[in-house]
Formats: sequence, structure tokens, C-alpha cells
Amino acid sequence: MELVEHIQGTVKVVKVGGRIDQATASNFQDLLMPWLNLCKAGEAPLVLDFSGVEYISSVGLRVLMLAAKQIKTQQGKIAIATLTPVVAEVFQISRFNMVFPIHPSVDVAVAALS
Amino acid sequence: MKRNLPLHIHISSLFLLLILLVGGLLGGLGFKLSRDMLESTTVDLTQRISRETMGEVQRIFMPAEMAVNLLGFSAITEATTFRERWLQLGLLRETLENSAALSSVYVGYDNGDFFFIRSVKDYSDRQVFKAPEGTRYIVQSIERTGVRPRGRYIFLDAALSTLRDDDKPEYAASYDPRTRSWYKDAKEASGQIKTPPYLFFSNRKVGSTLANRAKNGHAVVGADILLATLGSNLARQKVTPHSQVVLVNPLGYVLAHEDVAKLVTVPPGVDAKPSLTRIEDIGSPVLGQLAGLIQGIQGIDARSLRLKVRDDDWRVSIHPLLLDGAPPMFLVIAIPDSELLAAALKLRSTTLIATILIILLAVPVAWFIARGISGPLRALVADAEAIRRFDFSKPITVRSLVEEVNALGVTMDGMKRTISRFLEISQATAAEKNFERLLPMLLTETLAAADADAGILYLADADGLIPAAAMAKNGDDLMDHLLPVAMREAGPLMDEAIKGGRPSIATACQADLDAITFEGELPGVEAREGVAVPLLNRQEELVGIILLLRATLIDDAQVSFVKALSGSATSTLETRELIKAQKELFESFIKLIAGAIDAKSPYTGGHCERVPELTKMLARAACADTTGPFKDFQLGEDEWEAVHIAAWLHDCGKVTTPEYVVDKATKLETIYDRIHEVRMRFEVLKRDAEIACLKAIASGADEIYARACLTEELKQIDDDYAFIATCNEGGEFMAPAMTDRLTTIATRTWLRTLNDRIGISQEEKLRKAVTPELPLPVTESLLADKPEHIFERRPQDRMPENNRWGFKMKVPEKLYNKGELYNLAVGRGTLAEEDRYKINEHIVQTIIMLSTLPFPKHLRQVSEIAGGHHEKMNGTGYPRCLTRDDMSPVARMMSIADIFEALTAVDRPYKKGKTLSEAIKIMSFMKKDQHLDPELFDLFLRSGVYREYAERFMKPEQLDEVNVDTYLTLSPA
Repeated sequence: MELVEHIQGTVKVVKVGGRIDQATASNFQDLLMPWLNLCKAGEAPLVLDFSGVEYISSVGLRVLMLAAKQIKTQQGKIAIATLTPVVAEVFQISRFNMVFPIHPSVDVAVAALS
Repeated sequence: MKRNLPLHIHISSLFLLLILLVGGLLGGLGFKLSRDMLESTTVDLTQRISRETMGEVQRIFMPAEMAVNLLGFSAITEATTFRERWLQLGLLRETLENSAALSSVYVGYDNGDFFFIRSVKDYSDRQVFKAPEGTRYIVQSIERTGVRPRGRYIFLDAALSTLRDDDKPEYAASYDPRTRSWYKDAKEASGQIKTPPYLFFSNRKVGSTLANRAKNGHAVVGADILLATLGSNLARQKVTPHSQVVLVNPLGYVLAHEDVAKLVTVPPGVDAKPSLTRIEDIGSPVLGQLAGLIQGIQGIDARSLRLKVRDDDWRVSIHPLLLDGAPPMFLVIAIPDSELLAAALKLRSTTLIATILIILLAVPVAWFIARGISGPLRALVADAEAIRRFDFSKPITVRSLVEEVNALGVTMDGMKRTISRFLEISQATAAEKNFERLLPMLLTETLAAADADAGILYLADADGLIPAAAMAKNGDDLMDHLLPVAMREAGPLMDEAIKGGRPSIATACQADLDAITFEGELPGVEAREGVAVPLLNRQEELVGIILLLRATLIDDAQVSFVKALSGSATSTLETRELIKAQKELFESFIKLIAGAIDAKSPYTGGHCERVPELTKMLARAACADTTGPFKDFQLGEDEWEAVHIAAWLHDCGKVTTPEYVVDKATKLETIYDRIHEVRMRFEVLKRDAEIACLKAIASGADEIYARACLTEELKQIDDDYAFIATCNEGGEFMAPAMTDRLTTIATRTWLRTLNDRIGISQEEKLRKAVTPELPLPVTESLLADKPEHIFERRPQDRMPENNRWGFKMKVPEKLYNKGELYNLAVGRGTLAEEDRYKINEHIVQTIIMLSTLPFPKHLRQVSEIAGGHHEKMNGTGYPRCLTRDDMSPVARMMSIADIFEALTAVDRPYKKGKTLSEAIKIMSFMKKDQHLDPELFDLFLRSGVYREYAERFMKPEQLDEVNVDTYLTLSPA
């Protein structure tokens, strides 16, 4: 798994790809950590571009849930953009869409966080 | 068949039987006991009577015996004169007075003298002896010392003063003691003799005589004893009023009876002598039967017997009374049963009456109580029946005296509630189609059923559990505090449920809470008694877990109920997965078909994808419209699905349309564009012209002229071909002049020197066979409509009238006409009538194909929606010539979407994509011509759907300004 960052205006967009499950979750968590640590009050907001995420399992959701909590404590701003239908459904069932701001596209997410 | 009776009848009958049994037993036993007691008492009594009677007799006899004995020694026995005897009067009187039974005392002397003193006790005695008033004693004396025997009666008062002294010579004459039996018997006996009782002649009383020889042997002392007192004594001994007690002698004469008067019988007749009454004449039927018996008695034992007289049973006992020196007497006691057993009978009848009374009282009471017992049971039966009928409207409230019935009622009520609750929940979950609402609902119900303080419903995936619903008893949503749970770190409580595949019950420890929550606790939930119920599908795979937290340990019944509910949740999850999978498969198929259609022709690619988008945009606009004609238009979930499928499959019939027809870009195009063949003919003409020219020059013609002619002809040929090529493009309308020129050109010929019937398909050979083969070389028209260009229409490709789908299309006679002239002469566009029909036929195929699909009920509309997009509002469309009113709103929307997409698509082979304004303008004409639904077209413009679509799907260069208001004002003609 690889996370690719690009800056869009004042917002850091991190593109996530592949499957986030038991096998990859801890890797994903480790990779995500530097960005999470930097996402504090007054710092650049973070958008996770999920267009490449094919599948996310409960373990992956747990990582995201903990991420959301961390960001909340740090008073940072985070959002997730472009969910694939499979991921969107999982988000809807677990009501993750209430934990994270979800946006249909990166542009919309960037606009919302800017 | 055994008859079933209600419980209260059983109880009442049992009660009745018991009372009867007890009453009967008590009555019978009481009767028997009291009878036995009375009988034994009677035996005792009769013995006592006999003893007393014996005593009485002895009391009567003893003083007299003594007195007579003593008198035997007294001086009176020595007295020889009346004077001497008189002197002894005091002694005799005392003797009389000392024994009440003694009526007289007397002494008979062996010289025939007789001295007799009688005690006068009553008036009758005085009457008998004509005694004067105050007479107490009568002395009778006979003296034989004189010449003549002297007899006298001396009447004395109590003080022994003489009241009167009567001379009675006849008495002396008629009576001689020595002739009397008592005298004779006593004279001969060694001791005292007693006569059997007999009737005294003088006073007609029953008595007995005692006699004793005097010591000196010259006199006999006698005494009469009256047995009259025995009668009253017997009367006293009577046990019952009608008992009979009599004393009889062995001959059957009654010696003592309560009624003294009956003792003596005076036979009729003047001279008849009174005698003792016989027992059979005493006036008692029962005694009368004993006469023979008594006379036959031997021995001295008492005996008893029973007699039946006039319907009455008597018990009779006969006791012999034995006196010294006298024959036996018999004491007969007869007692009627009816009187003897009166008490016993009374007891029996009282018991009977009491039993009947008890029955009379008890039966209604028993009935009432039994009804009281069976009533609640009957009510329970009715309740059970109600449950069987799935009627849960009324609660079960049974109040019975019987603890078990109450317990049954309470249990049944619980059962009823449980079933009812379960059914309610099942119904509610079955009715809820929205999965996101269903899970919290299931959890709420489970929470209530298990009386839990908090509950979490997890869905399982390969790695762990995702919370899908979480709730506290008070309704608080707990989702915000929950983390997805990794399967490996689920905490002991859920771990056991996951691994064991059955409910795990344990106190939730901190590890459990850490696994499921952020903070290691659930705010506001103190309960820690946990139960985790795994949700397993039919393949025994974990699809989720319900975790409940309770204040107290859950009981088995609640676990069972939760388990049953969890089954419902599992099947819901599973069903949903199955339906989802089916829908996804179906969706893929739809898109596959749409993709195949679009893929058939790269030029139309995307049409099947874009039309659904546009249709849905328009439908959403209609739903959102609150004021216009569509303010009441709404689509449900099922209808949206139908729209989706219909839009995606609206052109599915195109799979049957040959792409060379759909994509026919030139008039001569078939599988390839035949313009090339035609062009080659022109090339041939040109070569022929050149050859002809060269041949002419070679044969001596004027070369300059000939070449000029050739140049002219070649130019003409080029010109003609250019004309044909232009016609082939189909870009402009074929005016009559053009058709004429086409015909003129066609008349030119070329020479075919090769066989055109070799190297071709069998099918083409058949078509060519219609015309006879001509010998080569053959002069051919430059352009021709030949029979081989005609493709016959098969019967199944025709459309019968009144067909089941309601298609009303004009079907061309031929399937295809590929005639060169015919096609080049097509007035507008590139399609001949047959081609046009072939293309339009796709909608027919669409409808036929869709109507053969077994759509579920909510998707039945698909065919109608999909098949109407070429209809026009005025009924001039195809394939059914429907009018606006015949069509559903969504079908009309599809029509607009199809036209707008077709107009604006940039990838059509026969034209370029129109700009937005051009497309709208064209459509406004169509609206004016009543091809389009004006209201929908207005909505299309008003809502901005056209622009929204354009921005998403059209090229930027197509997006120009549209003055919407211009078109809105247009109204249908």
C-alpha cells in the first residue's frame, strides 16, 4: 500500500488505494500516522481520496475511527472523498458518514475544507 | 364412543355420589348400630322385666308364705270354738295388713270348722259381699260343733268393731274346707302348697292359694293371694306403648295383664261360670298366635322369637317363672318392631332426610363451585383457541380458586404475549424494506424483549464486526462511542460467541468494553451482565452478533427469545444479501445488454447509458416539482427501480437490428458501401470510351476529333459519377430533376464479360436464379434494380392486425430492397422504406423481449415505460400509435430523453451533434406538433434539467445560450 500526497490549494490530499483489510490495515495505519500527526488546529486540512479503495473491512474502519478521534482531539480538519459504491455502503451501514465528512469528489472536499 | 362431559358435571356427579355414599353409609350404619343396640337393650330389658316380675311374684308370695307358715304354729290352729278363734282375730288382721297381696287368711279344721278373714279393700268387694259402709274386714266362720253347722258373716270396721253379724246357715251347709283341694293337698304335703293361680269364685279376681298343715296336724292354714297387683306391675314394665306383657300359665290362661278386667271371661248364658281368659282371647293378635306355642313349651329356658302380624314385626320373648311348689308360669313380652326400632328408624329416616337435604343444598353449591373451577378452564380453552387463530387482541385474565389453573393462566398469558410479540416483531421486520431502519428496529425490539439496558448489533465481515446499530434502554444512540471490532480482539464475551457459535453469557469485563468502545465504557450504561448472541446463516457462517448488557443475569427464557429474534435478524440479513446479489446480477445483465447494444455500433455508443441518466433527471425534477402539473407526481422505491431498468433496456430490441442498417451512412451501403462497385463501373465506362476512341483513331478516324469526343465523354462520366456519389451521401432532398437524371444515367450500359454467378453464396445464387442466365458477354445497365436485390419478407416478420401487443405499424412488402436505383432515389436521408422499418422495428423487439421477461409485480411497468419512447402525443408515433393519455408520465419522459440525447449526441454517423439551442428549438417544434408532452417539455426547460444534462454529457462547443422563456410560452396547437 502506498499513500500519495498532493497539495491542492491549502489542503493536503492523500490518495489511498487498494484494499484496507486485516492484511493491510496496520500498514495503512502506520502510513497514515505522519499525516494524522500533522493535521492539527491551524495546520493544513487533510482529505483522504478514497477513489482507489476497492474494499474496506471492519479492521480498516477501526483505523479510520481511531484516526477521526485523534484528529478531533487535535482539533484538525479531515474529510474523505470519492467513495466507491462498495465502500460507500459499508460507510452507510456503520454510519461512518456521520463520523467523517464525506464528499463526492476531491474538489468538493477541498472546497469544503478550504 | 365415549362421551365427553364438562368438568363441572364430573365434579358435581362425584360430589353427589360421595354424599349419597356417605349419607347411605351413615344412615345404614347408624340404623344397624342403633337397631343392634336397641335389640340388645330389649333382650336385657325383657330379662330385667322377667326378673322384676319374678321378684314381684316373690314379693307377693313371700310375706304370705311366712304368714301362713307362722299361723301354722299359732294358737288359732288349736282353737276349737269360735270364741277362741275370735280372740286370734288381731293376729290374723296383722297378718293381712302385713301383706298387701293377701286378701284373706283362713284356717280349716279337721272337724270341718272354718275360720276365714277377708280384707275388704274396695267398693266392689263390698258390693260382692253386700257389706255395710265402713266394712274393712269380713270374718266368715263355720262351726260344726252344734247340732247344726253354724255359718256366719261378721262385718268389721278397721278397728275390728262389729258392724253387722249375719247368720249364714247356707254357707255352712254348702262349704266344707275338708273337701277343698288346698286342704287336702296341704294335709298330705309335708310343707306348704301353692295352687296355680286361678280365678277366685267370690270376687272374680285372680289369685293363688297357699296352704300349710298346722303343726298339730288338725288344721290347715290357708291364705289367698291376689295377683291383681302384678297387672299394674306388668303395665309399668311395658317398653313401648303397644308392647304386650302378660303372665300366662302353661295352659294358656292369662294370669296377669295390665287390663285386669280382661283377665276374666264371662261366657254368655245364665249359668255360665266365669273363667280366666285364654291368651288368644285377650284381644292382642300377636298374643293370640302364641297360644299353641306356650302350651307346647318344655324346659325352663327363656326363648325369643319373631312374629309378623299385620305387616308389623314383633319380637316376642317368653320367660318361665318358677315358684316353689307351683307349676311354672310364663311371662310373655311382645314388642312391635315399629315401636322398638322407632328411634333407629327415626335415625335412619333423619339421616335420609339429612342426606337429601345435604344433596339439595350441596348439589347447587357443588355445581356453582365446579362451574367456578371449570369456568376459568373453559376461558383458557377459549383463549388457547384464540391463540390458535392468531387472535392476540385480548389479554388472558383468569382468576380461579385453583392454584394450578391460575398458574396455567399466567403461563398462557406469558406464552400469548411472547408469541404475539414475536409475530409483531416478525411482521414489523418483514414490512420494513429499508435496511438502515430495520437494524435499529430489530435491536430496539430485542432490547425490550431481553429487558436489557443497552444493545449493539454488529455485522460481520471477514476481519471483524462493524457496529450497525447501538442503543441504550432510554433510546440514546450509542453508535458514537463504538469502534469496529477486530475479530481477534473481540474480548472474551464476544469471542466465546464467535468461536462457540452459540449465545455466550458472562459479566462483561474491561477487556470487553475496551474492545468495543473508544473510552472503555458506554456512557450512561452501568449494566455489565452481558449476553452475546451470534447470528449464523444457513451455512453456519457468522453474519453478525447481538450484544446485550443487562443489570441482572439473563434467564434462559429471555435468551431463547433473543435467539429466536436473532434468527429473524439473521434471515433478514441473509435475505438482504441474497436479494442484493440478485439485484446486482440483474443490474449487471442490464448493463451488459445495454453495453452490447452500444458496442454494436460505436457511433451510438453511450446512448443506452445517457438516456437513463436524462430520464431519471427529468423524473427527479417531476418529483421535486411542487407547483406545476407534477406537484402530485411521486415515485416510490419500486417505481424508481422500474424506471431504472426500463431506461437501461429501452433499446434492447436493437440487438436484433443489423448494424449496417442502423449505421447505414450512404444510400448504397449494405455490408459495405456499394458506391465502390458503381464507381468501378464508371471506371470501366471510362476505359471503354478510351478504347473506343483509340480504336477509332486506329481505324483511321480523325484523331483530334476523336480525342475531343473522348475528353467530352470522360468528363460526362466523371460528372455523372460525381452526381451519383452526391446522391449516395443522402445529404440533400432528391428533387424530381435529380431522379430523372438518375434514371438517365442508369440507362447507360456496360459490358460484362465475366460470369456473375460463380464465387457467390448459395443464398445469392438463389436470388439470381430468378432471372435466366444470359450468354456472355452481357450488356448490363449502369445502375439497376434487379430481382436479386429483393429480399422477401418471411411470414414471421409480418405483423398481423390485432396482434397481442397492439402494434400498429405499416410493414413494407419486402424485407429489404437493395435495388441500386431504388436506394439512390431515396428522397431524404439514406434509408429506404424497408431500412427505416427495420430500424423502427427495434422498439417492437424491445417490447416483445421485455414482455417475455418474468418481472416481479413491481416491475411490470418496465415494458410500457421502455416501449413508449417513439410514440407521439398526437398518436402518430410507433409502434402502437399511442396518444399522450395512453402513456404513463415516465414513458413520456423517456420519449423526451431519447429525442434529446439523439439530437445532441455527437457520435451519430448520419449527422453531427446539434448545439443545445438547436436541439431545444427542434424539440419546441416537436412540442408544437404534439410529438412531445408539452408539460414535460416545459418541466425539462423550467427545471434546468436540459442544462444540467448538457454540462455533464455534451461537448463544451455545443453548450450555447438558450432562451428558455421563448419556448415556455409556446403552447400546443
